[in-house]
Amino acid sequence: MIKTKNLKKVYTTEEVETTALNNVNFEVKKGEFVSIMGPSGCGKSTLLNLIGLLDNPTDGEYLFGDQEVSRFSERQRANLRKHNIGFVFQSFNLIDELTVFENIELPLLYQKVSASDRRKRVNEAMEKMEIVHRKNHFPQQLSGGQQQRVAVARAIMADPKLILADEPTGNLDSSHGEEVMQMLLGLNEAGTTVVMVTHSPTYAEYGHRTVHLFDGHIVTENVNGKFHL
Amino acid sequence: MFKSHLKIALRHLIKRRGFAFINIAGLAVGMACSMLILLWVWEEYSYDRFHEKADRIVRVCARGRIGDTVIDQTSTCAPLPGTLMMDYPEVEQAVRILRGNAPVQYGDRVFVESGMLIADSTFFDVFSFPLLRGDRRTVLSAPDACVITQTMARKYFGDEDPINKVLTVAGYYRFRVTGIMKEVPANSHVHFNGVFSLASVREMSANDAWMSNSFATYLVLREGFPYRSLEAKFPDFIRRHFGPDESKIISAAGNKWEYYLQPLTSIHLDSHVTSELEPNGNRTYVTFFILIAAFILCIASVNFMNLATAKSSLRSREVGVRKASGASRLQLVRQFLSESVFTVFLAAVLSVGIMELAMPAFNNLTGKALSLGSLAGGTTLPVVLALVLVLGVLSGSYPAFFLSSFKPVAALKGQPSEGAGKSRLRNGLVLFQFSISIILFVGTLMVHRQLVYMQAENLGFSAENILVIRNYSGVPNRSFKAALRECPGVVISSGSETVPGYPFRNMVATPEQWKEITLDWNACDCEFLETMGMRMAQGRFFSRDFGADTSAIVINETAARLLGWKDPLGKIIWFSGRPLTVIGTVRDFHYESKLNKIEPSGMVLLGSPGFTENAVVVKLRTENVPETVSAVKALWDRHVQGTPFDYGFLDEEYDNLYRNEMRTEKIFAVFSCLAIAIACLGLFGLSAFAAERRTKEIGIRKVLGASVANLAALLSYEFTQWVVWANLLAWPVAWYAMKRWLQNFAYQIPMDWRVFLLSGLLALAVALLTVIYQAVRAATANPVDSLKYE
Repeated sequence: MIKTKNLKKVYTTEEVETTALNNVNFEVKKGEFVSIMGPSGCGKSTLLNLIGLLDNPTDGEYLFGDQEVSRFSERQRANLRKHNIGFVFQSFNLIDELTVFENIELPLLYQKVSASDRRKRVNEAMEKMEIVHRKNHFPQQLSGGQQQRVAVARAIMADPKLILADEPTGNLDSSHGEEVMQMLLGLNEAGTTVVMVTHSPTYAEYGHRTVHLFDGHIVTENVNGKFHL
Repeated sequence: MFKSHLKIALRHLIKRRGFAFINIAGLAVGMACSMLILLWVWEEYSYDRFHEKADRIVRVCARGRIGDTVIDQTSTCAPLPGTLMMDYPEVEQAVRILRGNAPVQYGDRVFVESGMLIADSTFFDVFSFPLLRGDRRTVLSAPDACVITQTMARKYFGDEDPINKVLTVAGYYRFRVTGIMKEVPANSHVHFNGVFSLASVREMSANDAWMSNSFATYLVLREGFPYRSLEAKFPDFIRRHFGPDESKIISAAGNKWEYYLQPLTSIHLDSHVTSELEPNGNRTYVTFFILIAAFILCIASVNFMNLATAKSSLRSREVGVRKASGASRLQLVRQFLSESVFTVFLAAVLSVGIMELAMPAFNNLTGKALSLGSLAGGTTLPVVLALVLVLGVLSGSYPAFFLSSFKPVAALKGQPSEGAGKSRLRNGLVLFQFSISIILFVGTLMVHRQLVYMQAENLGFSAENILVIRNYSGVPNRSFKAALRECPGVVISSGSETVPGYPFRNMVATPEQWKEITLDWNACDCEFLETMGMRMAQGRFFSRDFGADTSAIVINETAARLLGWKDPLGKIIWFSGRPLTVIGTVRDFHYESKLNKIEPSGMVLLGSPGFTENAVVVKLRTENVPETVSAVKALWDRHVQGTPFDYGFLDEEYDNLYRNEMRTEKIFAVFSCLAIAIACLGLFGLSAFAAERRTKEIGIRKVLGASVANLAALLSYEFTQWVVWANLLAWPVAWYAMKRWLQNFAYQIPMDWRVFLLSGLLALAVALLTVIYQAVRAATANPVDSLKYE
């Protein structure tokens, strides 16, 4: 599904060069659930952003499917993103001025889906995430767990092949965290590839495989023994 | 998609009401101001275009030089149009017009009509003034015909049918009403209450002298015939038709005489010659006001842009999310542009309301009768919508491109990339706004000072408490003037042909040892000098003690200087065949406005042949003026029968010369205040935003021991420094603009650096007041709160 070769990301400010990722070789197969762990500042989110095509690498190769995308223009990346990738963020990143319904609807708007179709699909997603009763609320009126459910609903709206979750449970208490993990797991079992960054070893074990990052390098890769059914 | 853009725009506005208010209100006021000004400009450009043949009508003017006098006038001679039509088939129609004031009587109703035209029968065929009754081609063909306006008809005839009623004009001429016309449109270069047939004034219409110029002459040219080609034929025309005497005058050494043409539609803005039918507009002012309108619109949209970019950090996360959800840059640009167009649209709706409310005040200010609907004839709406689109896109473009350029990663982290470039742009825009405000301030102050200077200082006569009574008979009223002498409220009085502020007749005389000189003439009684508070430079004024004063002349200093006479007393000036002896030189006085230079002028005693008493000037005591005026009226009614008491105060009438300038001053003042108010509104928003953005910094500084005063100064300095710099930009521009404006006047005030300094300080003070509130508020906040905030 995705494959990186000697991926490198250097942040340059006026005087300081910070290497966030250094020669990362990383592969995710179709249908996999991969967890990424590591201390703060080790480059987890940078890697996720590169995978998610939110940012371009400084050097190295990145194959998405069988396309080399590391030198894509903003427009090409936007295009690829909107049909293939769904994002779930730690801070939910819902737009405060849009209602639950409108937030979930957003990706479909950019895919120019017709209004009636949009309504149908958003309603289905809300049912799946059990937030139909909140459809006209604004994000501030929801609990953290509910907000993340909205965010997940939005992420799956476009039927992405890949879901990227950046510490999706970071702002949630354990019961809500568990809930979100179950949802991701469910999506994965239905065939969606999931890459998740997390601090929590417990949640990392939901994945088939855990990748440990340290100072921009991949240090270990564990295949998780236990499978949840 | 569009609906969703609108929705989010609206929710943003509601969420940040304060900002939204500043944004929309500022823009609305700016739009209203500039649209009002543009409405005015539009009207100025629309003058005389309502005539069907507007693009084919031209006016013939004469210019040249006789002696030392430069002539450029609308007045031409009686035989001109007829001869032109005979000689040149491309002249299809022509009309001669005279404008006058006279008492008009019907039964016991007598009024002095100040706007009367005496014109050829072709008048309504050449011009398209709307007729309500009567046939355009024949309505004036009878020699005693006249066409009056509805209002005038009502004034004399009430509900009676005015057709075929007879009006007596100036106690002598009798005119039969043959037609009724609508009021003359405001955007006509001449206004009148009625048109009277010229044929009945035979001594004028049949005057065949080529150098006796009293008519305004209008021609209708053949379709598509360029008026310049006709102009080219004029030199030959003059050679063929001017008589030997006339040819001698115009061909004498240094003398010159030529005709030229003015397109009807350019008269209002471009014609500034002698004997205009009405004071015209001024293209310079129109240009000035277009600039002011553009300036105000700029200031308002700059606010809009500034606040929108300042606010952008709040939108960065939204940009990130949208990008992550698949929005392309173009889609985001479109979103932000439609938001800004939407906001501008709200402002436009508000501005139409403001315009409607401000219209009476604006009309009062400009002396026009504009309305939103009438003038533009239904084009207001498309114009407003076009303006909305243009403004929305223009002022939204920077924020739109700026916001949409956010890198999704940075945007999602919610870190506004407050680059140096952006704040530089913002500061540059503040600099720009305040430069304009300062320029407008300088303009206001300079115009004001020039006006004060023109109206009050060194006129060479005193215009205060002088009553001017118009004497339409032209015959001196000895018994009335004698009675005035006994009237307790009257200091002194004198008859006179004309008074300062009114035209002086311009005639050629021959001083000894000179060929010719053109003088501005007046004739008056012996008391004129004292009544007007004028002073002699040399010699004496007319006196009853000298019987020979009927052949005496008093000249002004300019005349003496021009003639090179160190001691003019006793010199002879020949005028219409009679020798006049110079008995004195009067100190120069401004009988015209200070727009014009003082010309050589001469005064003779009333009763000299060729002069009439058109006015009685009465110097009143300062106390009980209204009582004195009614006493004088009582005397007038007793001694002068058949002519209504028509009077004015000299100072007010003289000030009328500056109507244009006074209006400019007021408009300048109002709009420069508005401009700076709008600029300050923007500054207020920006400073609020800066204070919010810098809360953390303020908290840290406070913890480290900064005082409130320190912090307030720090925050105020961020913006006020740009106002200081704005002066450097504004002063040279203002200097240049005012220098050019002052060139309109023959007598100018000097440029004064204090005006510039004062304007700068004023702008600074206003700006400081605006930002200090936010600065102090931010500086007095509890540092614990501000540190927690981040």
